[in-house]
Amino acid sequence: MRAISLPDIATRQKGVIDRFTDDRLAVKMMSMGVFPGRTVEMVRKTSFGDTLYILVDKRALAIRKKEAACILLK
Amino acid sequence: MHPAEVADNQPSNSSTQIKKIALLGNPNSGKTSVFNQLTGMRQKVGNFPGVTVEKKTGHIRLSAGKELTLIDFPGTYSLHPNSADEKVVVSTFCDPHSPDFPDAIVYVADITQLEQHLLFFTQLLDLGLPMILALNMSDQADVQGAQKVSKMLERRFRLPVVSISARQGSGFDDLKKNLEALVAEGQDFFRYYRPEEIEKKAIEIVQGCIPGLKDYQALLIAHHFAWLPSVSKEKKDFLRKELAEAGFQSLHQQVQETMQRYNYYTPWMQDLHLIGMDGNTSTTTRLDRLLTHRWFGPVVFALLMFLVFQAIFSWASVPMDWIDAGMGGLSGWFQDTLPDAWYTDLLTEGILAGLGGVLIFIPQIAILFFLIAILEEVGYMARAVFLFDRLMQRFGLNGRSIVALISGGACAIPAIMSTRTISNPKERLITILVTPFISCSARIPVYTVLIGFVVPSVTVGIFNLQGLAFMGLYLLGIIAALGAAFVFKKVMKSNEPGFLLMELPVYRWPVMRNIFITVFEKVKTFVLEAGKIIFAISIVLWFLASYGPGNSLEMAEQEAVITAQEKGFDESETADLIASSQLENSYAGRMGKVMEPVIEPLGFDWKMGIAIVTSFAAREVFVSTMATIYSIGSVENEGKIIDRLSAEKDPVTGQAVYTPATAFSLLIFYVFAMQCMSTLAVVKRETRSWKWPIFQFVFMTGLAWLASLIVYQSFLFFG
Repeated sequence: MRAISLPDIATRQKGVIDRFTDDRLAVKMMSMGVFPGRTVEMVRKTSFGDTLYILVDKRALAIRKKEAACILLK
Repeated sequence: MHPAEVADNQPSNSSTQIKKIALLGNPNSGKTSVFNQLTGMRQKVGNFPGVTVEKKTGHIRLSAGKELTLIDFPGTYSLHPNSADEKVVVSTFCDPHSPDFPDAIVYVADITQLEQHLLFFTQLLDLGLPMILALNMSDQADVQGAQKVSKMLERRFRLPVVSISARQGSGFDDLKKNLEALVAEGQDFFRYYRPEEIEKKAIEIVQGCIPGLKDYQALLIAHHFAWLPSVSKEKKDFLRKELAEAGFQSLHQQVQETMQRYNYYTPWMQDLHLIGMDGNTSTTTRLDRLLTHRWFGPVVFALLMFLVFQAIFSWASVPMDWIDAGMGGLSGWFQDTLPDAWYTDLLTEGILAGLGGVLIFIPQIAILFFLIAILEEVGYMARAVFLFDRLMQRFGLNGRSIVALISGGACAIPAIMSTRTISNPKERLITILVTPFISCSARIPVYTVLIGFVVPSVTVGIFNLQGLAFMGLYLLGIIAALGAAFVFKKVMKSNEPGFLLMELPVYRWPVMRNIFITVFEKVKTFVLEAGKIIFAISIVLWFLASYGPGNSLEMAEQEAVITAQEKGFDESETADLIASSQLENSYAGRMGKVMEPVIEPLGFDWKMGIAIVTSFAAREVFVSTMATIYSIGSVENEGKIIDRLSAEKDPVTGQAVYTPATAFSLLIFYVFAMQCMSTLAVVKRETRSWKWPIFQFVFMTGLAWLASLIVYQSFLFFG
């Protein structure tokens, strides 16, 4: 079964971060508090769904869909 | 054994004198407020060497009459950097010889974001510099909980922890006391991170090649040597080869290191039950439901920007009129008081005009930065980026560029200065390059005169034709800006791939003190940096318009007097005629004539050439230059200028010079051409080289020439 990545989940759904598919992005994500094991909630998406508003342990973050795709959920 | 509990007892910097303190912390940790509280207004703003990253320096006064220098570093998430701002921090801390390398650190962490803010803190610990941890409390933080946290942190990290509130200004005496103790006693080196075997090997390689480095500094260099300016080319080649042979995989190790750091300290947090310490998240969530809503969000943004635009446009006009009138009065007074000599002219028409040209922009700059700083402090700017990131991305711009483009409608100068918050250098540069295409307020007088001349004031349906023409010109500017941005995006190389992962901070009331300091600093920077270039060019332009080769101006005057007598002109008509023929014979006039072959295909004659040359001081000068050339003394009377333009006949063919073709061509030229030395001066300052302002001048003016050529020639062809 293919793992679920962050952009796959619907608005207001939550998931737990499992791992990243890209080391370069992983370093950036982790330095901003996006760690494996943390809960992430999809708060909303912009009109064309290209930019995502997510909550990682109460911290609100904006992330592009392209980069969010490297976050795999449990 | 828990690695983090291994203390290293080698004494650190206790022997060296502590003078330079670095202020560090995550973005949104309240670091700016702390800096302002510690240093007051005695700040110096400059750049870090070689980059356009703002560096603020100030002084902290301690009780014993001692003074410490405080350097404010950009907000940073990690020493494995993601932005130009963060790279500055890494390159400073990897180079002990850097002039900004500090003797000690004050680290600011927001207590409501502790888990996140401690990551960068632990990286700094390993640099072995004496450090104080300042816990910035959000207003709701409960005191007992905060005390528990600082006790725990003090015990774990073995360094002084101070609770402060940057907003209320409390805890700063305690912070200064701790700084004094630090200066007197120094601090033991507490090593937090235990490197893996492969990292130890990398550290050895780096230390063998660059002596005098702490272990973690060496590890950072092993990761980032490729772009570090302090590492020489030979050493880079050596490190690349050696580290690859050792099997050191930088990215993998960065992930491992970050994971390990985080895993060590998070368990310590778990037994702390912080009550009421979620900052302001519930209000933020509610507000964001509206402000980042897919449809309402952009509507609110449009309203806010409309307000900003209105404010720069209308509020600024009052003080601008004062400055204008004040400079005019002063210059009139000097003219009446001082003898009629060249130095009086230099003072009034050169120096005072130049000074006025600098001062006139202050109201717009102050108002724009006042409003932008509020939006930034409140936390709204990040939302604007979220909303418009995708749209702007298509044009190679950033969500933040939209603010610059909109304020460019009032004046490009504050707009370009506001691009500093764009972290991606390519997106920032493109924004700077295209912003002057947006029609600024200085183009309005030119548009008014020329539209009044060519477009009849009739109403078609609900639209006034002149109003439509106005709108068309504005639209043309916007299209040019976005089109040029799109082309630059395709052409320019980028070494930083586009990336967006941005914190949306909780909404907070702005700290007015921070806002006023920002406004003050921006105005000061403009006056001191761009102001001197504007001032110098004003004097050059004055010289060009007031002097000609040999005694040609005296000759012109004599001839004009004779002509005036023949035609029976009164005193003021004679004076106007003298001014007109003197301008014709000045260097500027001659430049207009030299330019004629180049601008003739656009339908312009040498008189318009002069106006284009003098417009470089400011576009609105076009109108007054036209008035002088056509010997209409008063600039106020736009109707008179329009009449005069229609009456102008070509001396050879006897046909009207100002046909609609010429007027439209001239309008298009003013939409596209880069004719503002003040903007160029600001671009020079912001890009730190003459390369970009020159490029901007050439491509904008080139485009203007081409567009005017097409307009004029098609009028001739179809007309």
